[in-house]
Amino acid sequence: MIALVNPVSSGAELARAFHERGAACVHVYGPGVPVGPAPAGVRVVAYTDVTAAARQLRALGVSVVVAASEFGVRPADELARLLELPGNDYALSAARRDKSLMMDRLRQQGVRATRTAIVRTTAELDRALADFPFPLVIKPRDSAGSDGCRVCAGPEQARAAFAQVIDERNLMGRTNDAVLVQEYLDGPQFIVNTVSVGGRHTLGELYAARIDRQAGGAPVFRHMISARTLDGPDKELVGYVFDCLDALGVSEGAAHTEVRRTPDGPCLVEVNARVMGPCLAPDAYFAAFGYSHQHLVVESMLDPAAFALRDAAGYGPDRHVAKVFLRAHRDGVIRAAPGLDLLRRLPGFHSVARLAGIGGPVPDRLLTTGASGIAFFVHEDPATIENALRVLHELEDAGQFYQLEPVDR
Amino acid sequence: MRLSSTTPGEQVVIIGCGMTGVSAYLQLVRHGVVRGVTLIDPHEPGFGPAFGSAHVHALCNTPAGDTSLLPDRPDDLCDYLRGRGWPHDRAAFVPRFQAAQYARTRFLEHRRTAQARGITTRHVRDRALRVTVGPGGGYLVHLASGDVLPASEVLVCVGLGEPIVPMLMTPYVGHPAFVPTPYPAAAMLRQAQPGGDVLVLGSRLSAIETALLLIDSGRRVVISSPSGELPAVRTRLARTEPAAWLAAQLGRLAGDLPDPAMDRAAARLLVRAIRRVRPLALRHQIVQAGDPHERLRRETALAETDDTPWQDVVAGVIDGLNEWLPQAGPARAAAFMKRHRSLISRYVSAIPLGSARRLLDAIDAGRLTVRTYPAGVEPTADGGWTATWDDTSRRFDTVVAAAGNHKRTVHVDGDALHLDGTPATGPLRPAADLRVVIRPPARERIWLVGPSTHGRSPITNYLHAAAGQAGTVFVNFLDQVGVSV
Repeated sequence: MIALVNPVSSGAELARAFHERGAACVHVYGPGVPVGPAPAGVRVVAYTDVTAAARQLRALGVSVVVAASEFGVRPADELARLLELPGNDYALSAARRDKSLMMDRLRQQGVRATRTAIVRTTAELDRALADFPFPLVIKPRDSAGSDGCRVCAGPEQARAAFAQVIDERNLMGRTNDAVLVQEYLDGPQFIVNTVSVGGRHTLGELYAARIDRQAGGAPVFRHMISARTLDGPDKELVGYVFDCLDALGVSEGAAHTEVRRTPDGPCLVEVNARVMGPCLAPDAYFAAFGYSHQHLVVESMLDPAAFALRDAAGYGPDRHVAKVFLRAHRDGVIRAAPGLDLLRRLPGFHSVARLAGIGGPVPDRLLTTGASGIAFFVHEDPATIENALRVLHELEDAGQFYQLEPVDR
Repeated sequence: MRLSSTTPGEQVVIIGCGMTGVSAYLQLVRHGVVRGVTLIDPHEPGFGPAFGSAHVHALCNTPAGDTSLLPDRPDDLCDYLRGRGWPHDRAAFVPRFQAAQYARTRFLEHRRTAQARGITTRHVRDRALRVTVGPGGGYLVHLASGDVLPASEVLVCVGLGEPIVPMLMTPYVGHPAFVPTPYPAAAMLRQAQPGGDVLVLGSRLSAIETALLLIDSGRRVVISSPSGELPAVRTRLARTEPAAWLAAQLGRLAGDLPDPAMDRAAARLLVRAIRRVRPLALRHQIVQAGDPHERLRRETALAETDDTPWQDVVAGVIDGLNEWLPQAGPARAAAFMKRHRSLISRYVSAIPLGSARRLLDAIDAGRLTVRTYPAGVEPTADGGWTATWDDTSRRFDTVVAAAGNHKRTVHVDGDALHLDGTPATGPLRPAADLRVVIRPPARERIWLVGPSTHGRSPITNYLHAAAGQAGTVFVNFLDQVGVSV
C-alpha cells in the first residue's frame, strides 16, 4: 500500500500514474489541505493529528510514503519516520523545505551554495543590503511559483520588494514571516528532474529555461526546453545536482531541482523533493522521453527491475519537449484567445493545457503557476522549437495571444 | 581508393545557409550526385537573419507563390502552408517566420533524404572569411575561428552585409538610445523607450515594418528618409503573362544601346506590358509625388479598388533587368540602376495593402508622421535626442536605423576569394555561369549564388532569382560531374 501525501497540483498527476498501474494507494491529506478527488474504492485519510494518521496508515499496511506535492514534503518525512519506512533523511527534512537552511547545509557539506540571509525587519534588511552586492534577489522564505520573487538592482528596489512580501499571504497559503536576501546568480537556469532509489539518483529530465525579467525585477518564466544529449558542462551540472541531493539527504523518490550555470560553475537555486510542477500532462513528456517524471517514480517503486535497466541505459531521449507558460501582456479580463490557431499551427506543437477562461481575469500573469495556460511542443530539432517559441512569445508580448477587454481611459 | 577533396562532389561547402543556401542544399541533395555537404553559417540553416523576424506582421517582400526554394516547384511554400493549415493566397505576402519555418522544414526533410542516400551533411557554426586554392587543386575554406575546411566545390550563398548606419548617426553608435538595426525585432523593442517617441531612419519596407511594430507596442513614430517618400501600395506580386512577356522583351534588348536609348526602350516596354494587364492610363494608377501621407492615402485607395495593373508586371521588371543589364556591362548596368533606383525600389518593393492600411490608421491617430531626413540629430542631457528640420525640431526618446543593409562585396585578391572587407576594385563580377574566376582562364569550382552576385545581376535580393541561380549552378555542377540533365 502506497501513501500519497497531499496529492494536489502536479501530485494529482502522480496519483493518476499510480492508479493507471493499479497500485494500491491511500490519499493522505494534512491539516489545511483541501481534499481532492480520488478514484472509487481508493481510501482517503484526512488528518489533523499526524500520530493518529500514522496509526491509521500502519493499519492499512502502508509500506511506502510519497510526498505528492510541495505541501506533502514535510508531512511525508514525518509519516515515514513514524512508520519506520524508507524515506529521505529525516534529520534534514527542514533543510529540504527551508531555502536558507538548504544553503547552510550545502556549505556544511562543501557543496557550492548561494549566499543567503534571512531578514524579518527593515533594519535586518538594511544590514543585509550593506553586505550583499547588487543585483540581488528578494523572495519569501517559504513559497513557490516565483511568488514574490524580485531581482533588485539597488537598495530602494530591494526595500520595495521586501515591503511587498513581508507579512503578506503567499502562494502556499501561509504568511511570509521572513524574507530571503540572496546573491544573484548570473547565468542560464536549468531544471533537473531525478528519481532516487536507495540513495542512487537517476536523471529523468534536463531542461534549459528562459526566464525574462519584468521592469520591476520580477522574473517571468517563459519556457523550458529539454536536452537530448549531455555535453561536458551538462554532465558537470547534473553531477553537481546529485551532490546537492546527497547533501540534503534525498535518497528516495522524486526531486525537482533548479540550478544556474554561472561563470564559476553550477549553483543551486533550490531542490524540491517532489515531482515537477505545475501541470504534468504526461502525453507530451512521453512523446519526447518515453516517460514522464511521475511515471518514472511509479516505475521505480512498482517495477524496480525495469527502472534499473533504464538507469543503466543512461539519458538519451529521442526528441525535445518544450513546456511554455502562456501569458497575457497585461492584467485585465480575457475576451478571447485569437492566438490559439497560430500556436496550434506552429511546427512542433503538441498540446495545450489549462487555458485561461474566456470572460475571466488574467490569472497569475507573472507567476509560474501555469494558470494562464501551458503549451507543449515536441520535435527532434531544437532550432525548430526555439523558432516556434520566439514567434509565440512575440505574439504574446504584442497582446495578440489573449485578447483582453479594453482598458477604460 | 578514397576520394580526395579534389574529386567533384566529394565535399561541397555551402557558405551561408539562409534561404539561398538552403535552396542550393536542397537541389544538391535531390539529385544525389554529391558525397558530402558542409554548410557554414553562424545561424541554423534556414533560420538566417533575413527571415528571422518572428513578428506576425513582419511580411515577406515577395508573395507565397514566388517564394519557393525549388525553381521547378514554384508552389512549394504554398504546399507547405496548406499542409500546416495556414490560410494563404499565393499572390499575397505571408509572415516571414512562415517562410523561415518552411525553409527549416525542407532542410530537415532533405537532410534525412541525404542520410538515406549516403550523403553526409554537416553544419559548422562559424563564419567563412575566404576561400583559397588548395595544394591538390581543391579549395580551402578559412573560418573566423581559425579552422580550415577542405572543399571540392564551394557555393557562396551569403546574404547581405552589415546594417547601414546613416551618416547623421555614425557618431552615436553605442549610444543606449540609438538602435543601429531593427533586427531582431524583439531586441529593438526592448531597447526603444516604452510609450516614447521614436525616430525611424529609412522609409523602405524594413523601416515601415519597424514603425508598425513600434506603433503597435504603444510608441509614436516619425519615419524619416532622404526622399521623405514611402513606397507605392500593392496587393500582390504575381507571375502574370504580361510579366513574362516583359521579362522576355527586356531580355532581348541589346546590351550596347546608348544610355538614353536604354531608358526609352525600357520605358516603352514597361508601358506596353502594363497595358497588356489592363488598358488603364498610368495617371489613373500612379499618384505623382507630393505630400507622403496624402500619396499613401490615394495609393491605398487605388490598391483597394484594384486599380494598380502596374503591380502585375513587377516580376517581369526583376527578371527582365537581371537578364538584360548584365549584357550592358557592370558600369553601364550600375549607371542604369542608379538613374532609376528610386523608381524601381518604390514599385518593386511596394507596401502590402494590409500594412498600408495600418500606416494610415496610425497617421490618422496622430501616431505616425513621414518626413525627410532631419538636418541634424543631437543627444539631449536626459538621454534622448533632438532632431532638427528646417522648419521645426522635435524630441525623441529613441532613434532606430532601419535603412537596410550594405551589399556584401566579395572580391578576389591574389589566389583567394575574400568574403568580407572592402575591395579596391569594386564588387566581383562572376562569369555568366556564376563561377568565380581566380586564376584565368581556369574554370574554378566556386560559384556565387544570390545577393553576392550583385556585380552581375542588378536585383539579387529576391528568392525567386536566387533559387533560379542555385538551379543554374546545379546544372553546371551536373555537367562537371558528367551527369546529363
